[in-house]
Amino acid sequence: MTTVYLDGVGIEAPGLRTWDQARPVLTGEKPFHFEKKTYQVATLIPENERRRASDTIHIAVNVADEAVNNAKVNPELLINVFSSYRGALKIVSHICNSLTLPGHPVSPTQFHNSVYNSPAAYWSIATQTKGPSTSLACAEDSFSAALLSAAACVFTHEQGVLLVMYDVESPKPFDKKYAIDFNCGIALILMPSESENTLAKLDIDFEPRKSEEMDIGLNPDLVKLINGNASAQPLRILSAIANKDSCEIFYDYLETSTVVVRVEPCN
Amino acid sequence: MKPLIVSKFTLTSAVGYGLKDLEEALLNQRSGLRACDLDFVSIDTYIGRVKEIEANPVVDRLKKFDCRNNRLAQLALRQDGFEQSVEDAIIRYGSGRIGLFLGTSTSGILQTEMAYQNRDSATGDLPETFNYKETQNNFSVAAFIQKYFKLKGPALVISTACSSSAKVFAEASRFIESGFCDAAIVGGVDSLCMTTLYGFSSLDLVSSKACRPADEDRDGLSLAEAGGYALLEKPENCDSQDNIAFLGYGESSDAYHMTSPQPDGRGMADSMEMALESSGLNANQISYVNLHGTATETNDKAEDKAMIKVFGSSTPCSSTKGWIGHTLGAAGVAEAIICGICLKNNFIPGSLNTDSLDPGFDSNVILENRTEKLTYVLSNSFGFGGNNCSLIFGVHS
Repeated sequence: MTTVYLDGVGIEAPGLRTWDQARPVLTGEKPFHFEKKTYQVATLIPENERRRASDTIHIAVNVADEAVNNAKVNPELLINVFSSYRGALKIVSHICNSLTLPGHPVSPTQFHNSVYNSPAAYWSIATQTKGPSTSLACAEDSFSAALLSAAACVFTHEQGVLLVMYDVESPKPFDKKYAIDFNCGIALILMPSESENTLAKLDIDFEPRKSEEMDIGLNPDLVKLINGNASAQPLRILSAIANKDSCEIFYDYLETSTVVVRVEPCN
Repeated sequence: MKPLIVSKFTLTSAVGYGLKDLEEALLNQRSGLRACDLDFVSIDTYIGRVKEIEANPVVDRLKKFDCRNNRLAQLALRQDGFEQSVEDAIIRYGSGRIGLFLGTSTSGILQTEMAYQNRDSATGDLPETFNYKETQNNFSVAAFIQKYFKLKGPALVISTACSSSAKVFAEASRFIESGFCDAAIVGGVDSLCMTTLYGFSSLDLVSSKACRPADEDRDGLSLAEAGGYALLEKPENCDSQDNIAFLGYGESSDAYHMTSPQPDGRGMADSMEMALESSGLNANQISYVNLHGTATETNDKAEDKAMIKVFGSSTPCSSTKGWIGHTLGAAGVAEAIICGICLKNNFIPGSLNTDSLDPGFDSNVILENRTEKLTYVLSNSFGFGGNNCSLIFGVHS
């Protein structure tokens, strides 16, 4: 088991535009309105790179920036862990379409944006962070894997981690069979020790067995978000924090195993 | 980091299946690169192609995973008794205590490229037979290997372009130190596809000849495919002697540019320095550095500067991409395994295809194979977006 302290959150999802705006929605004080918006342009990215950036990059950089600001940490001191179920599928789709055309024209910009670690790379360029940066994938269970990876970094290096999840609407023709209907990005700052900015203590463990446990009392609207976009999975932890609910959350991991997160919100 | 034993390893690349072919090719300076003969690509370039991938489909219960990348993953797994070593490890540790960490850059994207050639002309739909999740999705290769062995431990794919399968060693070390698993299968699989060939070509980074790392006339890389794996265990769980040990890792970001390395090699040097720190070794204890050495103008130049900063001008170094090409997401593990062979044979590979060393280079690039007692070696892997990783290996006695 590994303990980390959640010090900051960034969020961009339908009806949940920022962490401050999301908190009263997660507690039920304010109603949830499923409202799809196009992504915000990430002005943090230098203009030269910004022109070339794609939706996944803008979303990932924006939520990362919000989380870093909320946690009041220096991003240069953090290890970056980025993860996504689909990555830059929209760009892959563009490229695969171009490859059917005479001469197989591939745009150099699209090619480098199609690389799975491009959001993490744009973030490091935008913030001049020069430390370790990992982009990892685990299909629908990408958050489970990313959370373990982040916890392992915090434990091993005794350093804070910026964990960023992002997935965007499916492009055509993937929208029929492999639909994601909305954009979602969530970033968490996970630290090795408690600070005045700590929102919750998280004990994270891996269990090589399937869990039958279910979340209790999760808002059905949020369940729809979580089921509709793998990168919305952190909402289960964030809902517990907003509601000051000490609980255990059981994340599926590859049909065979579970990542267990014991959440202890701070006052 | 706490040292880990590389108790088994295997590599399948353009020079052949498994370690015997690799060792023979390295010792005899036999390159696996050849003029591009893929029927789906028409570019004047050289490639490193694995023979007869096409003839080795994934069948039966796992046939949904069938694609070029997973065929290569399966083919590579079946060499050198690696499959049996995994089965033995499952008995010793339990299927829930073995982690699986694989690297790839493009996964089974060729399958999507082919699906796009066969879209329904009226609706634009992809063919019914196309399985996105099991083939092109970045996790596909780990899902395939996990199901192949019925593993239940932590599993993930790292995709940081050309450093992907170097970083899996670091990731496995962290997971083992954190207690999330007791042993790990690490590896990397990347296969030739249109996206990388036409993509790198659009950036003017592919050579029309076999790549010539560190050569004054170098003009780009030779794209290639490979699949390789290593089994990592704690020393106390291994009884055999003279094993290769994984001793340190460094990871850094250039924070400079999406496709060009920082010209002064600072990020690359950071990565090597962090690896030395992680292993507790000094630069002068490293007997050989296996360079990232892609044979592009900018990579080799920046890496030379980084080498000088960290090691000075005497530590022998070379790129082995003249043998197997640039295998992208498999390059990290491929070159880690080449380092293993160098350590076992006490041999330094001379930079193949390099006729005339760039006169602007100051590092000690070795041009001819030589025999020399090796104690510790370092391997570099640097990816797009300035994602750097360096690994240190040694002989564990």
